[in-house]
Amino acid sequence: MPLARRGFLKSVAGLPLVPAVLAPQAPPAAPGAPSAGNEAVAEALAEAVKRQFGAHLDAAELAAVRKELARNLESAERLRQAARLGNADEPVARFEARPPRAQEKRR
Amino acid sequence: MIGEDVLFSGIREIGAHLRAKRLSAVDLAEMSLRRLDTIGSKLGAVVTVTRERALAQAHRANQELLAGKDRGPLHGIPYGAKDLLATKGVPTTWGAEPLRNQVFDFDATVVRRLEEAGAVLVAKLAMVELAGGLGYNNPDASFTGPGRTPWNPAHWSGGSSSGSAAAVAAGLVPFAIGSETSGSILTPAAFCGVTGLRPTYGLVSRHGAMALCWTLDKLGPLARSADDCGLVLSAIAGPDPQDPTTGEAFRYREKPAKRGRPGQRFKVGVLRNATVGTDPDVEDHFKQALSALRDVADVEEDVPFPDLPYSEAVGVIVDAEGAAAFRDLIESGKVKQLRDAADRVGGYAMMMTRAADYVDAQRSRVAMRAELDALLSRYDALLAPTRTRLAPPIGRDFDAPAPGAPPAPEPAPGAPRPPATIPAGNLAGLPAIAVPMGFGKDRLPTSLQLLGRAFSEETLLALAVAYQEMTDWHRQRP
Repeated sequence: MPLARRGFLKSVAGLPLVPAVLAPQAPPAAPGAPSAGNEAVAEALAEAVKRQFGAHLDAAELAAVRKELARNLESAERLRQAARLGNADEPVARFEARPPRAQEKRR
Repeated sequence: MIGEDVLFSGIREIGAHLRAKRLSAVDLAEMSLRRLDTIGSKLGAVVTVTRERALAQAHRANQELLAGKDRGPLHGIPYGAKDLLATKGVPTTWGAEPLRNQVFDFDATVVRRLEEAGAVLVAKLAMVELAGGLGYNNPDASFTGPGRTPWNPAHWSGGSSSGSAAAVAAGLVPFAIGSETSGSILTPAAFCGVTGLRPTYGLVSRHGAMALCWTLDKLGPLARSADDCGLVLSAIAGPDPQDPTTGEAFRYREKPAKRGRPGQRFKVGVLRNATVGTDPDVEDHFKQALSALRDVADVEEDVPFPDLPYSEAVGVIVDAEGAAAFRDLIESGKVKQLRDAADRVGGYAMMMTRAADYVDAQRSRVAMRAELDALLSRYDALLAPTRTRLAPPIGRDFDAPAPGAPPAPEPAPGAPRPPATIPAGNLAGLPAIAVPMGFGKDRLPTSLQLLGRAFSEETLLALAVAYQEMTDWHRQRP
């Protein structure tokens, strides 16, 4: 059973399933060549899914989840290689200590 | 006598009929309700027709106009809301079978604001289950069945705001509200041949809307024209204490835009590789659209789009936030009741998203936003086809090849690829508008996308209005 977000992007959006070189200093793995490390992590995460949610999933569905996990890990790896983040690069999310309603009252 | 065809008119024209008393808001609402009942279900576009509420609002609108109280351009105008917007006492299903009986006791901010503007809520409109957050792979991904484009009901309407686009295209409502996390307004606008505006992140309150992904979700209008989208956006935008991401206000000018800005031409950039891999009709119509735009804009060709992993970042962010948003549904196993096979299992993989991957995606977003802003600061808009392909047929998985066709080959590394404007624009929170630019094979619509700098809606709308003054694609009827 195919899982779809990236398949959807490829087929409907015309976007690539696997982009070409994203950063000159860190060319990604060739399409369709998942790294052995990610495969092992996908296997471990699939096992975690089976233990936690196995009651809701049959064998075919678990296999689909494992395939999607491998895809997700590859995607995250491509992102990481392309983005080249340093220690000081903050995430976009910003927590504010003052609750919004308190801000309203101060205005 | 004014008939149901009036529902294909622009908001200003319908409003003129109401103010001249050639048409009552009640008669108008009745026309819309009748079409929703008779045509809406054939298109898979409607979840709930809100007859009682609609007629009460229409009667009030009528009484107010008779008494000289005019709430503005939307006074008495029927509309539909994507069924992820809370509406007091009316089911809000999020398109999902396990939530068919979900009812909220309050109205979403946009629903409340539209009521204050005098608009008449006639329907809750169909959508892809959970706005596609769990990774659907087929047009048939809602308990209401597949959304169908009114131009050719054998083809998909696009999603996830499927009913919002189809209802406007079929003349069931003059405008509708949709939502976009990554493509869910622009795609159905393109496949249904209507105009769809994705506002800047934080311009429109999401209070009362289903959350799929807090840092990507936006609400916006779908309508027949850019001018109509501007009128609707003006009513729903602005700060809301109940949505902390809001802050900026927006005011659309009340008079129709002139061609270009006074004494000034627009400056637009055509993205490099914009037509790589596109359907031939899309490429042809895109060239024609550029030719038209040269009347009002200086057009710079071959503008490189930063080649960054937007899709990957969107994927990680939606996986992590979506897993949290729908955690109860996933953990309880209720996702098994969803329509699409991929949706029934996708949440379990999402639950395993690694925290560091999510934070890194949010960190990479900062640099991507900066690169896009630097590029967009040089233009009023960047142009590309909204979708590279025509609407796919109902009944086939998105990743399945057409019957008899070989599977699509993987693109060669380094091969030209079309710019990833939809994930890029969503990741950076940028506004975009999709406008019809023609009709291709099997009478399927094609669409032009205008991508702008954050909070540049007024310029984008002015450009889109100028384009629509020179073309009539948005006036055509299925």
